[in-house]
Amino acid sequence: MNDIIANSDLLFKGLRITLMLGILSGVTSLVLGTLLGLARYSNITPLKICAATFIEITRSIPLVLYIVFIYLTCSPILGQINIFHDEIFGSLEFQSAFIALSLFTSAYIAEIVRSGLKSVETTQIQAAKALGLNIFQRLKYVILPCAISRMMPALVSQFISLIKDTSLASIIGLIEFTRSGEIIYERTYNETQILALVALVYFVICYGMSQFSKKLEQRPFGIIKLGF
Amino acid sequence: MYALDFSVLLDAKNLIWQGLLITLQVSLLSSIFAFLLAVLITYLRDLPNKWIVWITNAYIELARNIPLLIQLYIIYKVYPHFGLSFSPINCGILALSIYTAAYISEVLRSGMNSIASQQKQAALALGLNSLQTFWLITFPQAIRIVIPTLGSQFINLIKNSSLVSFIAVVDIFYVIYKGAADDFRIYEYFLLGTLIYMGLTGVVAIITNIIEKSLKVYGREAKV
Amino acid sequence: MIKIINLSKYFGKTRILNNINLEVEQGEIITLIGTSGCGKSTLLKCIDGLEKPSSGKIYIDNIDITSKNTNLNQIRTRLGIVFQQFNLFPHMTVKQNITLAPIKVKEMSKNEAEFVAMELLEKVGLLDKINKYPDELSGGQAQRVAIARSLAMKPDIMLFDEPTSALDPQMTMEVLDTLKNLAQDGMTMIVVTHEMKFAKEVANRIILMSHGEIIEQNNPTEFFDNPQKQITKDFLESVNL
Ligand SMILES: Nc1ncnc2c1ncn2[C@@H]1O[C@H](COP(=O)(O)OP(=O)(O)O)[C@@H](O)[C@H]1O
Ligand SMILES: [Mg+2]
Repeated sequence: MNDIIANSDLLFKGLRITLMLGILSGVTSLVLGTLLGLARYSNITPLKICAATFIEITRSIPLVLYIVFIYLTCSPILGQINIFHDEIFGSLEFQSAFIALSLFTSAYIAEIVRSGLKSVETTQIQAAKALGLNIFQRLKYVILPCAISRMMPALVSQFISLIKDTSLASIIGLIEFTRSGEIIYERTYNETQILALVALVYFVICYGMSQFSKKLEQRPFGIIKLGF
Repeated sequence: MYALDFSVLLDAKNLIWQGLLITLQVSLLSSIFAFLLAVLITYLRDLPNKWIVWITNAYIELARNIPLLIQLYIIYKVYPHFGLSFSPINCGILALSIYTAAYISEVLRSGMNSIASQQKQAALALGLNSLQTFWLITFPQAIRIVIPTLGSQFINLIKNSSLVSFIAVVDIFYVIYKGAADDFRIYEYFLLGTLIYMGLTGVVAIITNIIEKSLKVYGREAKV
Repeated sequence: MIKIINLSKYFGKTRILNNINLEVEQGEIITLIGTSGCGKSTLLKCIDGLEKPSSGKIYIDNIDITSKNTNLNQIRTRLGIVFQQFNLFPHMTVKQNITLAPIKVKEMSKNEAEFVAMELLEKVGLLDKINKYPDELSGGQAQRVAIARSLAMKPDIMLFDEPTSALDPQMTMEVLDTLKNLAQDGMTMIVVTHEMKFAKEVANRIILMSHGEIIEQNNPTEFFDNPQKQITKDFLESVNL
């Protein structure tokens, strides 16, 4: 217990980095993944092929491979750009982890988005067309609202995976939550308590998100407010 | 301009081969253990005993909501304090099996749930006991429905096996990473790594497809 | 009003519609009959521009809808189509389903659109369901809302694709009554249906299709009492009135 209290600063700092990495790459991958999913869903062949290639390659390799690849190839470039002077955002490790997690997760989100879009029945789309709605109106008022409510459970579990996946950024030396715990037990040899605490914190975050998602599922269209 | 030079890979071919064998060994054994454990969990969860159901649910939630890396560290670092010491590679297999079994049992359960409850009632009414009902009636129907989803769990397992490198097991990922970083031949090694993992996951995808097709020939298909 | 010239439609290599020629006058009520799979739905979808013809021309009020330069969305506001499976948007209330297109496509004000929606719901007898979601409606009610949704665009022509096939006899009656009222109001209509009694009572013209071709067309009396073609006789026998 004393080891935890004595090192709580380091643990909190690690947790902060984990959460920031998770949230930032979560938002980025949601945007990127939606675009990729739309590209693969579209009828524009070159766009479709590019999106499909990126998605399929990304989904067949391990995340750690992705992280170290981005780190080794991008950090020379990132080091030169050096835009952020912040202690956290400015570190090459954080930036590389952010890029890798965003790209990696976006491939999975793209597939969720695509299958959500595909799950909207053609008859629904035809009904919308028949009313004279153009492609953007169809997407905005009919296809996306239907698709999003079906996508929610899969999206939430993808974000849970993302939070868990941030632990792998420790491989490039980013001192996020897992690595901060590791540093402490390497000093104190108190593996049991520290790993139990680290596991508990991850569990609370991820289990909380999954329970939240179950609540959403109980009212399928409740999350989508339509104002037009 | 960076000039690709694949001869570095030839020089390292023994290491690469050994790493590949370790990855295959870990993946294959973990797949078998994970599947068996998941079947057991699925059976237990279907029993009318509150306590068993609670315990299995607790296991599944814990396994799914804690990063695999932390679970791996716990087995590697904490278990020895309680007199349970395994070699690093066995720690890896154990962690991967426990982690993946939780996911597989969720997949199997969704299959079980899509089987009409009348099937179970009819079987019980015929006098089959709960184990017979599970093994002969509900489980065979459930597994057919979920084979594609099951395949993607085994694919995840192969990718996750790369985490054993965190506890100093020299698997294919470790060889690729070290080679790329130490020889400064990043692109050659990563191209190889990508191809190897695509190959491994591709094989699982093909096997899944074959099993799915062959099961469709026999027996009537259950509609989801 | 509608003029179809030499219309053919292929899905891949299979020919679904073969050289269809058809003219529909303002105020005409046409019922389209034929065995399942003969291409009735495909024909309606071609007329509404939901399927692209492989060859041939379709004119709505002398505007060629098969031409690339035609704004299909604009043409569609003049046509309404109602499907067998209602296809109400599940995430919108009845009111939102009906007012979506008038507000977004016709740029009607929200108040005006809601007023129109209430009028139409009154007409189909469902004003009390205005704030319900589609899954809270019976099949017959959902279909009448779908009809109201199409009518809200004030179309000149209504296309109905087996509007009662998914309904039980009681609900079928409700929906057919709505259709009869529309006919009395002078709406131009093409109705795909298996309800021969409805066809006989309401239609000006009956068209029989088989394997993607128009086999015979005539007024109801002639069609039922004096069929010309063997296929028509066989068909009428099979539906035994
Ligand atoms: N999108 C499509 N792709 C391929 N074949 C289709 C498609 N839509 C309809 N068909 C085929 O076209 C034929 C006519 O269909 P349809 O117009 O729906 O017939 P009906 O409405 O008279 O029952 C059927 O054989 C059907 O299988
Ligand atoms: Mg049809």
